[in-house]
Amino acid sequence: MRRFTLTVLVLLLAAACGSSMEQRRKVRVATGGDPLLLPLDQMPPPGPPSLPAFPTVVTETLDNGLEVVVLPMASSATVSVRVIFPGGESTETPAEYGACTLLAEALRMGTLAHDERELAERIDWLGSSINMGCGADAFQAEAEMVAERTRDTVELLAEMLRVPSFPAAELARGKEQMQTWLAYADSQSEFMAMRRIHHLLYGQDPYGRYAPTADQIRAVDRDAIVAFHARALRPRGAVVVAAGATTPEAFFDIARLYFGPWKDAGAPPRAAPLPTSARPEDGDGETIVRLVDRGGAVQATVAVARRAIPRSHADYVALRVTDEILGGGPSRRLFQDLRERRGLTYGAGSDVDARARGGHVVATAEVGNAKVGEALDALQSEVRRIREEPVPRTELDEATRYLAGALAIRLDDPRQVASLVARQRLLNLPADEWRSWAGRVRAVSVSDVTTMAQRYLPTSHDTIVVVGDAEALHEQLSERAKVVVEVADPTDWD
Amino acid sequence: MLRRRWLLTTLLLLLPVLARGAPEGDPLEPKLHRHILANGLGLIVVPDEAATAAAVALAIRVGSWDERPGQSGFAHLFEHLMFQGSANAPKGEHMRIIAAAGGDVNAYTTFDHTLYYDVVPPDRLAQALWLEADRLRALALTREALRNQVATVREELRERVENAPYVPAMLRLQELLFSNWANAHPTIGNHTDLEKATLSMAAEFFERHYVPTNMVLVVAGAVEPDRTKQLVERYFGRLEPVIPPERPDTTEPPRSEAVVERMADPHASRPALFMGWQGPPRNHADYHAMALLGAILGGSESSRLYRTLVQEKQLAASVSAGSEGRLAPDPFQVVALLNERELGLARKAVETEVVRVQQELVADEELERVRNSLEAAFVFRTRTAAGRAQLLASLALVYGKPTTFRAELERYRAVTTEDIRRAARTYLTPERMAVVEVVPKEVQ
Repeated sequence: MRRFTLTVLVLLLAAACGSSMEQRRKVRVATGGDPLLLPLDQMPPPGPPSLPAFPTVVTETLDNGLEVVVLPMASSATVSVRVIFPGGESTETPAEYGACTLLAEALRMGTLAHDERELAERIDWLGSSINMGCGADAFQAEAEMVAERTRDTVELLAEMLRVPSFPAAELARGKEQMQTWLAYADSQSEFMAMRRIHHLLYGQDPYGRYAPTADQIRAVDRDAIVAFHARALRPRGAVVVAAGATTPEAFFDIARLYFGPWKDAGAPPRAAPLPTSARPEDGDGETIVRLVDRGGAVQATVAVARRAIPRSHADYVALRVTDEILGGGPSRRLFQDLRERRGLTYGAGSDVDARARGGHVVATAEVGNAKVGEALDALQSEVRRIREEPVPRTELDEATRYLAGALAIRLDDPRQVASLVARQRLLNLPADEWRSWAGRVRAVSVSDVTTMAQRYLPTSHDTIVVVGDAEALHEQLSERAKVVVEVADPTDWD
Repeated sequence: MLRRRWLLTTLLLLLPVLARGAPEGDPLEPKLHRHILANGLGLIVVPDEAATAAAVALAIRVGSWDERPGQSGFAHLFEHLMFQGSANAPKGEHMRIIAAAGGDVNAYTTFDHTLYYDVVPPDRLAQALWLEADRLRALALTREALRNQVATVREELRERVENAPYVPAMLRLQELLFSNWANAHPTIGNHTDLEKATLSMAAEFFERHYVPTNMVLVVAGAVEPDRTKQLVERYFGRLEPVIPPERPDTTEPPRSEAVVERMADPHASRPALFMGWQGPPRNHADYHAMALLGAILGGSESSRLYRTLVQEKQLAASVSAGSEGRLAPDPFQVVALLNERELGLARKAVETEVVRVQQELVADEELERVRNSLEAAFVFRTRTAAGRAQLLASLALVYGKPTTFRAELERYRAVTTEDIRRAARTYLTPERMAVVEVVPKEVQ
């Protein structure tokens, strides 16, 4: 009874005081002392910080040019392996569009030693997972295994990568599967929005293809997949990263055994430089909203984007911090304004997609039809604010502490460690990228944030896409911008 | 960057994979330090010197099954309200403080439990525990916060259900499978009921369910057991001991025949098949057999349904099968995203495989394969402090007491091929079955 009364009192008191009170109040943090002795209305101070070290990196290059990187983590019970082949979709010829994506499926369909079913049964029997995927900058394989299955799993992984059989019947089936998956993906608002955003930002460059179209998948034949495999998946230029319950000696032995015989076919093709601007009409001073019609939708995806920088650019760290402040998570501006204050969306945020050859910044929210105009205004208002007003120092410190600390607490997870190193190798980042990360993040200043915001965050003159019911949304969007209604069909956008 | 498949994984049921860290000794049997506070709160501490984080998982035995007709979605809405401020941590502070430490904080609500978790650097454990305890002691809700979160959850309902292909069909399947409203209605609720939420409802819900005897707290990772116990006693010890609420009635009346429905989906561009059966509850002796049956039928690309529907007959682009894991009559479901084919063919193919597994014992090698996958999945999921904490908390709610990953795995290993056949015969019967066939928009 006492607890009920206390709860009700807090509710009534808070109701009487309204909402402004909690927006300004912060937790009272004790300045010191034993947490066990402090009053309960004060949060204890943090303890002495722990600074986990990035695992040791040991590297060897095989005779065929394949680089093998091992990060032993003795306390782990598992091993995470990443195999990166630079290029990916960026090296597809126009006639090959979709070949890289289909290759990821094809490698599971059979090898010279095992058919599709045997491969699937073998992977399950090992208790491992092996996945392949094609991205904008690389073809990648990811494998997870318990420590005792490392040798067997890597053997199978190497076999799938090196000697696929490309069975015709399975490939034909796989093409139909892919078309069904694409149809499912394209029926989702956010996916369609990203397709359109990428197309607008990058045009005919491979980055402009967020995913293949059904037509492109249909047009790819077995010869194209085989040719792409031969060209793109070769040892020289590729990297194998292993993190977890292994040692350099043990894993190098395994790598030599199963990847060593892979014939050196020379360096892989390099992607062409990214054109500086794919769509000359963007940024001409007029606010244009491309409204991709998804008839009958009760909610719309609102996305604003702008071309930015590649991952290796000197501005990346400062831009990443800026983006974190704007829309990095639930504590950041977009979420706090669009959701926690206005109730317009389940989630709003922003992201820096910085790739090998270029990148962009995109901010998004999923919003009910009645509030799309208001959400677009609010989103742009937050971008304007961070461009025009210096961020408070406390807010900058919280963002940098998050970015520095978020890396540290993940260093006991082999998956995270392997992925970080794979990314560092793919993007040719410095060897000390992750060791120096925290320091570089903390060095970002208030004026850096303002500069990055003005330089890279999307304004009302940049790319704006709304995917939703055109009939329901046209009027409120027309009050704010020139609206161009488009069909939700990528083949129609050119 | 890795884009392999756009599957219906968000609609599907996953095996209850156990995660395991890497302490010394058997990684599936970490040392559990157990304690029960005087007010009934259960505490489990799982130290791991190699961890770089401390994870807190607070699992409360409250979910949509506790809701009353007219209040659907309230348990999940209340989870949102738990982040709207407490007596000493105003709205937004919990998230801000954890994020500023480089950590993560979030929560989820299911049919039968709600779980709150924090993952922080080890030096912030006391802060995370203090924040969790503060909101259990006294929430500080305002009408504006309630209005704001009702609006937020309604947007979530639009995003996850109304604006998404196939999800309405998944929810409709539950309505066809179950007669008892507690089992049939969706955790996300509906707009009408959400709009009816009031502060007094929130206070009553909090008083009834958020009591120490109805929850378990797990702390894992770079933590020291004795110190952790002291902190938990200090922060949570003042919570009042309250008799836990009665469990809702989830009994289902007997059924006499299968229910089949066809549904038009304006956002779907391919047909899909949702088939379900009433299975045993999560804590029933037959549950593990059903879970393994799900893996054999549709757990991976080596599974029977994948072979039949995807590879041989090419009726589907993807298929999966499995149990949800409810502490009540539990839906065992088969979900298939179909190529442009006749819906009836896919259903017939599934039924043929069901009959097969009812008539013939599965091969020993097949069972062993599934067991190996399951054990590895346990290891993968629990290799982080967060994974360990959350899974131990969930298991403690299932069994009413702490259980180790090894003990749970042994329950799976004890299942025989005869158990699987018997489970298939008992539960995958026509009278326990419901089907929703989804027709894409251009076919309507």
